[in-house]
Amino acid sequence: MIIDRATPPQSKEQAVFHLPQIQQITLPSGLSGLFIEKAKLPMVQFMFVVSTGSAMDAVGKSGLANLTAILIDEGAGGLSALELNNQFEMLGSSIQISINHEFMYFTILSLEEKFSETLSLLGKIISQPHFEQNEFLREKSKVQAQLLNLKNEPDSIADRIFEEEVFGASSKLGHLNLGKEKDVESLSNDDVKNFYHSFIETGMAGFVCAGSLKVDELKNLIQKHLDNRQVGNNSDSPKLPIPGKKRRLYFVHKNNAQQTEIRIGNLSGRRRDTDFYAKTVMNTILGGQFNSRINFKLREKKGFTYGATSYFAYRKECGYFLLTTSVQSEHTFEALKDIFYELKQIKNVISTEELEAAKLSIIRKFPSNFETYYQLVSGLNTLYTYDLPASYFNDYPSNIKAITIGDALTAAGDNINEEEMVAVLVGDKTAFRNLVGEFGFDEIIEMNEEGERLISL
Amino acid sequence: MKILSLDYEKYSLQNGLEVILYQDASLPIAVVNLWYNVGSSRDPQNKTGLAHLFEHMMFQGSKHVKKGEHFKFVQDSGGTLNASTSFDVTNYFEKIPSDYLETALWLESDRMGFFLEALTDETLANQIEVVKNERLERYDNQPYGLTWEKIFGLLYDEKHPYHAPTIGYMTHILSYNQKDVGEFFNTYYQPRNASIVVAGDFEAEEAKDLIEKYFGEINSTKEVSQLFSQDKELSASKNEIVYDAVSLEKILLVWKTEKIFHKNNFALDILSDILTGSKNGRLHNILVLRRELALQVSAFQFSGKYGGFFCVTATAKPGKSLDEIKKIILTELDNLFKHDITTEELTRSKNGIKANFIYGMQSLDSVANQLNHYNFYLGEPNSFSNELSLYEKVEKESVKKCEAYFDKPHVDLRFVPKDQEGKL
Repeated sequence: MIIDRATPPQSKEQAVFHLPQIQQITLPSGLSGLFIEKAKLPMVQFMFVVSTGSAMDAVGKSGLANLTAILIDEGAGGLSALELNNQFEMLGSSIQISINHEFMYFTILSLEEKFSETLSLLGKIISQPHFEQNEFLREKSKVQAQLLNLKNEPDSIADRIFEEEVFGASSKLGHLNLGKEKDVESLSNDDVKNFYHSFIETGMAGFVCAGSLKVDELKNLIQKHLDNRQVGNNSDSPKLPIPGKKRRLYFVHKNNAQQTEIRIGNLSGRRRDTDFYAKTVMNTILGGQFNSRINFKLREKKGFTYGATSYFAYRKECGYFLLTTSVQSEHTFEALKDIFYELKQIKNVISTEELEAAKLSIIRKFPSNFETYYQLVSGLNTLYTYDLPASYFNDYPSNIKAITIGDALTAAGDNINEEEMVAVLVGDKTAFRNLVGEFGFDEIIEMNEEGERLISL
Repeated sequence: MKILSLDYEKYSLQNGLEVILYQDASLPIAVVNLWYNVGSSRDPQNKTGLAHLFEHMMFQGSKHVKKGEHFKFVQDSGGTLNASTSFDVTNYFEKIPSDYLETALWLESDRMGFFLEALTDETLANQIEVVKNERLERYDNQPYGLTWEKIFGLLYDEKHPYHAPTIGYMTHILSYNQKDVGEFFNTYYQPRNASIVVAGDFEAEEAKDLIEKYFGEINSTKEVSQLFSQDKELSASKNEIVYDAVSLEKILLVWKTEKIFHKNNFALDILSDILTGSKNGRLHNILVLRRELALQVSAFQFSGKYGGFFCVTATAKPGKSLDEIKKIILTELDNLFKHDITTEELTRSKNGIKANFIYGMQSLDSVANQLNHYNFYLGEPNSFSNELSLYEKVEKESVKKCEAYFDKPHVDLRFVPKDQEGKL
C-alpha cells in the first residue's frame, strides 16, 4: 500500500461533547454552591471558598492572611494538629488550604465512602480552630525561613516585583502573600485569631464540588457537617489599583547571572468583561501556546530562551497582562527588542489564518477541560469567583467562534498598554545598560531582592 | 478492585512495534503515548545529554512535517503534547480530540520513519541553544539546582548509566553534531525499540488499521544491543559540600537500594511514608515540629532499570546545624528498625496509597503513560491491581528488614551559602 504522507489526514466528523450538568445548590441557611455529579470514579473533590485573602492584611501586617491559612488546620475541634492529620490520612483523604489576594480555599479530596467523615473534619477546621501559641511561633519562623529562600530565586523575585509594581503601593492586590520580612516578624497569635474572627468565621463563603455522590446526599452532608456557621456579609472589597502613568523599568542586579528573568505587562480589565473572548483569542496568537509568535521567535528561531509565554491574570475586579521569559544574559537586549516589536505588531496585524487556527484550537480543546474532578471543581470555582453566568460554559464555544480579526486587534490595543507598561529584569545589569533611550522608559529603578527601591536613575 | 483492572488489547506489528489499545469513551478525546526504549543511560560518555537533545530534535520536523508544524497540527486540533527523557526511556505524547487521532498517528509515524530527511545544521544549532538555556534556567541558575547531578555523580561511577545528568554537561551539549544525532536515531528510533499506547474514544478496528497504515511500513533496521550494567556497592561513604547561592543549608543522605519493581521497593516506599509522608511522619514530627531544626524534611525511594536509592533530605532553619539534623535522622532510622512500627503507621500509609491509585485513574494521559510504564518494566500493561496488592502485602517485618540497606556506606551531600566558604 502506498501511503500519501505529504497530505495531512483530514479529521473525521467532530465528536459530540455533552457538557456536564451544573447544579446550583442553596441550603436553608443561605449557604450556596455549585455541583457536578460525575460517576466515573468513586471519589469526591470539594472546595469551600471563603471570600477573604491577603488583600485584607492591615497595613504593617502583611502575611497575616497567609499565616492564618497555614495555622487554621494546626489543631481544631479538640483534635491536635497531629490527631487531625492522622484522621485525614487514615481515611485516605487529603486537605489543602491555600490563599490568594481575595479568597481562601479549603480543598478536600476523598473516596466517596469516606466523604462524610472527611467533611466532618473540614467542618471542625473551619469552625473550631485552636490557634495554639506554640504552633504559631513554629509556623511563623518557617514563613520567615521561606522568605529568606525567596531572595535566591530569580524567577520568584521577578514575579514578586512585577505584581507589586503593576498594582502599585495603594492597592494590596499585588503584594506578596507571604508578607514582608519586617511585617511577619511583628505578627502575633492574637493577630491571627482576630483575622479569623473578622474575616473567616463569619466571612462570606460558598462551595464547589464534583463527585460521584447524588446532589441530595451532598446537601445533607453539608448541612450536617458544615452549615453551622453564620453566613456573613463582610464583603469589603480591596482597594482597586490606579494605573501608573509612566512606562517603568525595575531591575535587580545579580552579579554574573547567566540569564535575565524578564516580566513585561500592564493592568488590564476584569475576567467578566465582554472582551474576555477576544483577549483569549488574541493571546493564543501572541504568547499563549508553544507556536505563538513570541515563543516561536525567541525559542525556535533565535534560541534565546527555553520558553516564553504571555497570559492574562485576574483579580475579582481587575486583571493584568503579562509576558514572561528568561533569556541568556548576552541576548537580553535583542530579546527585549523582539518582545516590544511583537507587542506592537499584535495591535496591527493578525492574519485570517492565525485567527481561525487560534479559535479552532480553543474550541476543540474545550472538552478536555472537563476530565478530572479537580478540573471540574476549578471550572466551577471560576464561575463562582468571577460571578460568571450559569450559561458561561454553554456559550463559551460560540463566544470564541464569534471573534473577528477586528475584535482581536481591538483587544490587543485596549489591553496591551505601552505607556503604562511595567518591565522587570532580574540579572546582571551590564547586560541591559542604556535601555532608557532604546525602549523609551520614563523611569528606571534599581530594586533589591525584596522589591525595595535602591536608586532611581 | 474493578476500577484498577483495565480492559486492553496488546499486539505487535511485523516490524516489532508493540501496540496497546485501551478504550474509554467517557469524553471525545484520545491519547497517543509512545515510549522509546532509550534514555540518557545510552548517552556516549563524551556526549552526555544526547538522548535529551534528541527528544528536542524530534519536534524540529520530519520529511513530511516542516519545522514547527508538529506543534501547529496538534495545537490547531485543540490538542496538547509533550515529551520527556529519563535515564531509561524517552516518551512522546499527544492528547487530542478523538476525531484527530489519525493526525497524531501520522505525526508520530513521520518522525519515527522519516526524521533524518529533515535534520539540518540550522535546526540542530537552534536546539543546542534551547537546551543550553534549559540547563541554565532549570539547573545552573536555580538554588540547589545541581542537587541531582551531584547525587548521581557521587553514587554511581563514571561507567554507570546513571552517572551523568540526563540534561548533559554544558561542554557536551555544545559539542553535538549531525553525525551524533543521525547515529542515535538509526540505532534507537526503530519500531522494534518502541511501544505505542492509544487510549480513549476510538473504534478498535479502525485504530488498528490506522496504526498499521502509518507505522507498518517503517522498517526496523538493526538489532538494538542490550545494555548490561552491574551496580556496585559504595566501598566507603562519600561527603561533599557545595557552596551555592542559597540562604538555607540543606543536607541529602542517600543509600543505594534496589532496581525498579524489586520486591523490597514496596516496603521502602512505605518506609518513606512512615518517615516523612505527612505531619505525623516520624522525621517530620521530630525535626520540623518538636525540635524545630528543619524547614522541611522528605524521604523517598528512587528506582530505575539499572539502580535505585533511598534519599532523606532536610533544609535547615537559619542557624541550625546539619550535623545535628543528620544525627537525629540516623537515630530515628535506627529506632524504627530496632523497635516497633505501629499498626496505625502501616494502615495510614496503605490507605493513602490505595486512594492514590484510584485518584490516579482520572486523566487519560496519565493512564496511557502508566500502561506504557508497566509494559516497559513488567511486560504487562494492566498491572495497576497487581502493584497495589504488593503494597497491601507489606508487613511491619518487611519494612524492618530494610535496615540492611542503611548499614552500608552512604552519600552525604550538603548545600551551604556561598559566603560561608572557607569559614568552616
